Amino acid sequence: MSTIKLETSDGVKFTVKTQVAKCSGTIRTMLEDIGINPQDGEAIPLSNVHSTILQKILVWAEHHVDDPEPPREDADAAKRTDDICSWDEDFLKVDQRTLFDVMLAANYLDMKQLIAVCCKTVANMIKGKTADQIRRTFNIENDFPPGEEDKIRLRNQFCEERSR
Amino acid sequence: METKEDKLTVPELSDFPNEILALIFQHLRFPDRLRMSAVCRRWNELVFAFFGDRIMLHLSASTDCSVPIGKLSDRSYRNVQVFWTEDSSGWMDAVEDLAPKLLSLDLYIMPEERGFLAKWNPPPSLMEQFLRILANLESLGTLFINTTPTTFGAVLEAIHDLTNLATLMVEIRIDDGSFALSSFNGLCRLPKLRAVSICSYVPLCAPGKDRLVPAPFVESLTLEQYSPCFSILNFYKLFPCLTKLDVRQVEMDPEELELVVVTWPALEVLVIGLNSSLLNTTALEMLQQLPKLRKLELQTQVYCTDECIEFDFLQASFYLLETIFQIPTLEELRLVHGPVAGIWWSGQIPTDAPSCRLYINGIYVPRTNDGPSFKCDASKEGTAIMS
Repeated sequence: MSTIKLETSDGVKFTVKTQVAKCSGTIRTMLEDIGINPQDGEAIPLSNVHSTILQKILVWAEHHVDDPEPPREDADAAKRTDDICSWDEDFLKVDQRTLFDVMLAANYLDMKQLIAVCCKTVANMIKGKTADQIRRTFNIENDFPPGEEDKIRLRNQFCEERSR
Repeated sequence: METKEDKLTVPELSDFPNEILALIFQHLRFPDRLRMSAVCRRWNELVFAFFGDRIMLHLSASTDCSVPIGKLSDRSYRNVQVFWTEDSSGWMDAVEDLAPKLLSLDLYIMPEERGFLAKWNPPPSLMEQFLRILANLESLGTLFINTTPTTFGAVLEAIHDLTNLATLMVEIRIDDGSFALSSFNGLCRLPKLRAVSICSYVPLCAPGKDRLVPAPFVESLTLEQYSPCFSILNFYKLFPCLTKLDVRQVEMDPEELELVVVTWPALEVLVIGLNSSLLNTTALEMLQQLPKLRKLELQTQVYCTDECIEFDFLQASFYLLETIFQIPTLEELRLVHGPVAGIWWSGQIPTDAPSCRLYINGIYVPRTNDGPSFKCDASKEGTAIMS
C-alpha cells in the first residue's frame, strides 16, 4: 500500500495512504499533473490546513474513500439537505469553529463531497431563521445603513421565485 | 505527533469565499435565500448575483412606495409582475429602467381590487409610458398580458419589434367591445415567437374583409376560449405550423375535432377536453390520422354526477383506450380528470402498445402483460388506485 507524507501549517507530518489522500482534488492534481513523487519521502506542504483539522478530515476521507461518484444534480433546483448520512451527521457534530475550519480546509483541498455535506449542515442551521437570528447564530455584523434593512425586508415581501 | 504553538484565526461564515456561500445558498429554499439577503450587505449582493435572474418582483397598488423604488434597477430583477393601475406611476419609472434587461414580464392592466371584470382602460398619459416600456423590452422572452380588448389592440402593435419574445400569453378581459383576430397579424414579425396562449372572455371576431397573416414560427398554441365564436379555421390561418395544440378548455364536437386533425397534420402534442360527444370510438379514431402524434392528454369535461351517465362513461373509457393505443407513434397518454367529482375511469388497460406510457392524474400507471385493471376516483385529485 503506497503512502505519502503531508505537512500541515503547524509543521506536523502525516503519513497517509495515497488512495485516501487522493480524496483531495488538490493533492490528486499535485501527484498526477505536477508530478510530485511521493516516493521521494518529501512531505507535501498544506500551508492552509492545521493539524487538528487535517486529522479530522483524514478520518472522513478514510471512511468515504470507496464512495462512488455522486450523481449530477440539477444546478437550479434547491438541493436536498435531509440526505446527510448518519455517519457524517455524527462526524459534523462539532462546534461551529471546527465546522468552519473543516469547510475552509475542504475547500482548499478541493474535497467536493465533504464541502457539500458541510454546506448542507450549515444550510440546516440557517433554515427558517430570521435575518436577525442568522446574524446572532453566525456572529455576523449588520452592516446595512440605518433603515436599509427594513427596506430590504419590505422589498423582499414583493418577490418570489420564478419557476417557468 | 509534534505540534507547534498554533494561533488560529477564528473563522467566520461572513468571511467565507463566495463559492462556498453560493453552495450553502443552493441548499436553501427561496424564502430562506431572501432572508439571507437581509443579513448583511455582502450576502445581499451575493443572493442577487447568484439567483437574481430567478427572482420575480411583484409591484401592485399595495406595494409600499416608501421603498426606495429608484434603487430597484440596482438589483438584477429579470422577472417582474405588475398590477398596473393609475396610482402606480411611482414605480413604473423603475420598471422603465429595468425594461431593457427583463426576461419576463407579467402585466395586469387593471385596478387590482376589481379583478378580471374591471372595464378599466389606462388614460393616455399612462398609456404613453406603458407603450414606451413595451418598446424597450429587447431581452424579453416571456410576456403575459391581462387587459381589455381596447388596450390590447395597442399592446399588440407595440410588441412587434421584440425580437427575443418566445412566449406570449394573453388574457382578454370583458369590455364593451369584441376583439378582432386580425390584431394578431403582427405576430408574424416576431422571429423567435414559438408559443402563444390566448384566453379570451370576449368574442374573438372573424376577420371580415381583413386578411389573417400567418405567424409561421409559432409551434405551440393554447386556447382558452369561453366565447362561442371559436373557429379552428381562423386560428389555422394565423398559426398554420403548429406541432402542439392545447384546447382542453374548448368545448368541441366531433366535426371540430376532425377539423383539428385535418388542419394541423404535423401535431405532435395534443391536449383536448373530453365531453360526452367525443366519448366514442368514431370520434377518437380520428386521432389515428395524426401521423406524428407523440403525446396525447385527455381531460374529462363531463359535468355530470348522474349514475346512469356515469355508467355510460365507464363503458366508453374502455373502448377509448383501445382506440387510442392504436396510434402507432404515441409515446405518452395522459388522462386527467376535470374539475368535477363523481366520474370514474375503470376497465382493463390494453397491453398491445407497450411503448406508450400511461399517466392517470399525473401518476404513472405501469402496464404488465396481465393487463392490470384500474379505477380512478375523480373526487380525489391525483389518485390512481391500482387493483
